[in-house]
Amino acid sequence: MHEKLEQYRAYLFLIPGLFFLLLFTYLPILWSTWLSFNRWNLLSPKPKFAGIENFVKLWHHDVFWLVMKNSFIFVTVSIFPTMFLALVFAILIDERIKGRVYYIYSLFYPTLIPMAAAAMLWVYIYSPNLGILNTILAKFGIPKLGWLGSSDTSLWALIIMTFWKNLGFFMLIYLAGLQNVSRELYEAAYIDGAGWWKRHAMITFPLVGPTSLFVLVTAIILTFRVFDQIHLMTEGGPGNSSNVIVYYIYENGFKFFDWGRATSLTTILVLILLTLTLIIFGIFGKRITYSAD
Amino acid sequence: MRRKALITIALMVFFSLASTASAKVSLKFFYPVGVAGPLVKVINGMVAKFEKENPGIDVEPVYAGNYNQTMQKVQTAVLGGNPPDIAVVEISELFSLLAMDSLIPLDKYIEQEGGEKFLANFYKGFLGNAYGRDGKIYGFPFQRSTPILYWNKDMFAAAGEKLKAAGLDPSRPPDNWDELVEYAKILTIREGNQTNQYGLIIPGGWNDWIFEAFSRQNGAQLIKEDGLTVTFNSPENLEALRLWVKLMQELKVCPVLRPWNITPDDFIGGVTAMMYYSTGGMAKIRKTAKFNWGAAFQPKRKNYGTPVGGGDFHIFKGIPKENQDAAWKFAKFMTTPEMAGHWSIESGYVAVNKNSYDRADMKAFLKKFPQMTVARDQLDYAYPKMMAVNYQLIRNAMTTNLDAALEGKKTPEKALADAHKLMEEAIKGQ
Amino acid sequence: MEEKKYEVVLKIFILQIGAILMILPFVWLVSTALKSPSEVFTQDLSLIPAKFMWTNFVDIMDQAPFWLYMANTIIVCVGILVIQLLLVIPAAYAFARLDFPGKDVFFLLFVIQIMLPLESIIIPNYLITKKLGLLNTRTGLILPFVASGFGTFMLRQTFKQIPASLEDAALMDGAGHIRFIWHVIIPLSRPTIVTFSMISIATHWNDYFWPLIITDVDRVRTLTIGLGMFVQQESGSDWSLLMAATLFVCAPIIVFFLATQRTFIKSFLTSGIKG
Repeated sequence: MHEKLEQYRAYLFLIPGLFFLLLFTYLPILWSTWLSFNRWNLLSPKPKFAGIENFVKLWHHDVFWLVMKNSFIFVTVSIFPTMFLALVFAILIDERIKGRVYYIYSLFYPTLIPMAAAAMLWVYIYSPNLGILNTILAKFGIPKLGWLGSSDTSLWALIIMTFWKNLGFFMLIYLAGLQNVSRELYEAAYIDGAGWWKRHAMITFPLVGPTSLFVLVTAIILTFRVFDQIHLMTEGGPGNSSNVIVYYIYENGFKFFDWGRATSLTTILVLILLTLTLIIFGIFGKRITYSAD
Repeated sequence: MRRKALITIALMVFFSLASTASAKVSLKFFYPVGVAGPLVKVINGMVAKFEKENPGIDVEPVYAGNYNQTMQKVQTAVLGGNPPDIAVVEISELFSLLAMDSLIPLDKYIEQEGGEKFLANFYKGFLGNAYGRDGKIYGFPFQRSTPILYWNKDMFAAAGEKLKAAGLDPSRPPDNWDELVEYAKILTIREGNQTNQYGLIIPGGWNDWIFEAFSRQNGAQLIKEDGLTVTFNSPENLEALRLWVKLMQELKVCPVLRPWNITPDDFIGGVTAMMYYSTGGMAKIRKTAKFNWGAAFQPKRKNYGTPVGGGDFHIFKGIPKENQDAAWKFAKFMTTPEMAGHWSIESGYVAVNKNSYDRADMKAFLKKFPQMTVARDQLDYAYPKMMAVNYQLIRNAMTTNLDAALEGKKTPEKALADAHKLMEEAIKGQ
Repeated sequence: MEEKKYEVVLKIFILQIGAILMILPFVWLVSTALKSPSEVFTQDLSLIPAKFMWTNFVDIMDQAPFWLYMANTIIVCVGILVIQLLLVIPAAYAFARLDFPGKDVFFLLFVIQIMLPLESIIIPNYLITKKLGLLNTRTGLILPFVASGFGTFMLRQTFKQIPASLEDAALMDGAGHIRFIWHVIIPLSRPTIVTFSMISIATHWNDYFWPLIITDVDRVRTLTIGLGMFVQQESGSDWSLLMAATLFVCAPIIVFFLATQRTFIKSFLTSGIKG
């Protein structure tokens, strides 16, 4: 009897959070999935059931595949260099005592400032004639690049800027994770004659596994969500060369008012994210629950 | 617990303060600032003057971003059942607004003002984009422009010898397409693989607008006036696009896809000798350029030609009649000779009211800055800007394909054909 | 463990290069913010402005009501944090220390939310917010973020580490769950709660996409949107003013973290984010 009461009490603790969770995460997803099977755009102002029409049209649409390609490139190219350098810097900082705060802050402050502010700054930096990037490159004899204005470099310009923004954040997480690695292990390896790289490859790398997992998941989510910098720096262009999935969804919903297409893209994105979740939990599930306990 | 209660109360107070009701007629006015500078301040000043002269009307000017953003906001508001009372959007969007059945016709108001005689005060070139297919007038010009050619007189003088040797006059800008190429070639200065000075910049971003100008100069157009028949892929337009590709890829006298809002910076910074740009950029150049510069008609091909640009006032359905009347009063106020002139001087847009140019302050201003008359004079050769339903989608089709051709990713032929196809699909509602 | 001399030099060198490269953009930002508009148009690299234009910061106020935007941003961030804590602390407590049917399923719902950020489901969230009549309201800016799966996960971890003996002692004293949470759990989890709060504020200070979609009037506009509109004018931005505005938007959060850095770094390093 007391047990039953306890259980219901537990639900009470959950209900407020659960309410908003349902209202702003799960209900919208269900509604959006339903809408993705409807035709709903500027010339068809009320949703009309249309089966898989939206998906078929997307399949045949060049821009869709370009956007998916760009998103994929963005995610994979950003993540691994960022994680690697974040770990390296975390290790380097961990080994220094003097100047630690200075290093932490200089790497971390970009994370603090709004992406919108960083975007403004980098638009200026990438400016072909007024920006310091081209000016500095010119001093090395490299011709001025179009950066945001050229379809060859626009995506890379965004990737570089996103890297600058996120590096410090992951570095800090790794730094926290490193606090749990026992110094004695390093001592032992040093005594065995292992050099710096070897020590860290054999000890640090495996031991920050759980942290790496956390960083990986966070990084994937962060890069799939990129929007602000696209919107403010290139608007997906030129020629959709820097268009990625969340921006594309925005374009279709709020620029072209094709809600049918926007919701079908949303459904696809949600499926991708859920699949990633399954994979990550599947492979690393035990580790997560282990470390969470 | 108490702290949280205090915070909640504070929040509630804030929220309620934010929604105080008022007894006057209250107009929500969405507008884009299509040009640079502290024009938000100018608008606020004009609004304040209007409110002083009309104590029963409150206007809340909502700066909604650039043309794209403003149109998106307006569309979202209309579709959400919460339209603004009056808004300025880019003129090509008229048919989209009409397709949403969101605007009221202004014919009645214009009749009250004197009908044709009233309209005669305004430049005909600017009224072209105000009519719906039913012949009724749905827009009223406010911030209007045309693209023009800006040229750096000092750079022309510096290249005087070379220009004269080529039979060109350094004291005037090119007058036709062929001269454009020749001048640009001479005015481009390279050092190794660095271009220190471009002869010309045709900016990206609104390159569809500039392309429409080149199309008109060649006696063609992009979409017919009915907004339904696409004529994007035509021999004349192909010639224009080939010219652009030649300038950018072959001769390299023009950078590829310089972003729209950076182009004036390049001109001011001495990066280019000439640029195509909206007359609306003139205020910024006037204030910050440290060299002698001029403005001119865009060089002709078969004739001088240009689309107009900018934004018109539109008054919306779904608001109380008294709001609509008040909105018209506001639109009328903003386009009086005095106000239109003031707006023109501050922004670089053309004064939509012909009588603005008879005013003493305008005359004095033009004496100092004769460049401001160029866009107005070019109106003699101006056509309405292209309009179509689903304009955002169409514009996207045009710019992505133009961009691809200019970057050398598609042949001009393919770019025009692809864009043409997409535009037709967008109009059909695919 | 001895570090060879060259190792030390190399490490410091790499760190310094990293630091300099990361800071350089910011230096450029500050430098431009203090220049006059015409000074910006040279192609030379001049870091020190000819004249320090402190007036730039006043001028930006002319162009947009940045103080209003800041007030809105503060209201929204505080609102989000307060409601988040109100929702997440009890939920994390339930998951950490209570038993009830379906516990794992519900926890999964919270955790999966981490993988489904607002950006990915912006369209349906917009439609729902519209239906609820919350467009152009600060409430609408706050509510979609309050159910934080991330916060629930973080706090659950920390709550789990509080020894059962404390709970038994409290029960013996006749304290109910709420008293226990308030007097024992929360004080003992302070570092994690502080860390979470700082992450929440930093995250939502920087929100851009959501306010972009659901607001279009100055009254509820936030700093990031105000800044974004500044640059997206059709014809060229005034770069020095734009950089001044950018600096204005960044300053509060940087100052906030600098002021609390010891607390922040300490609590971050001890909050148990080891994954």
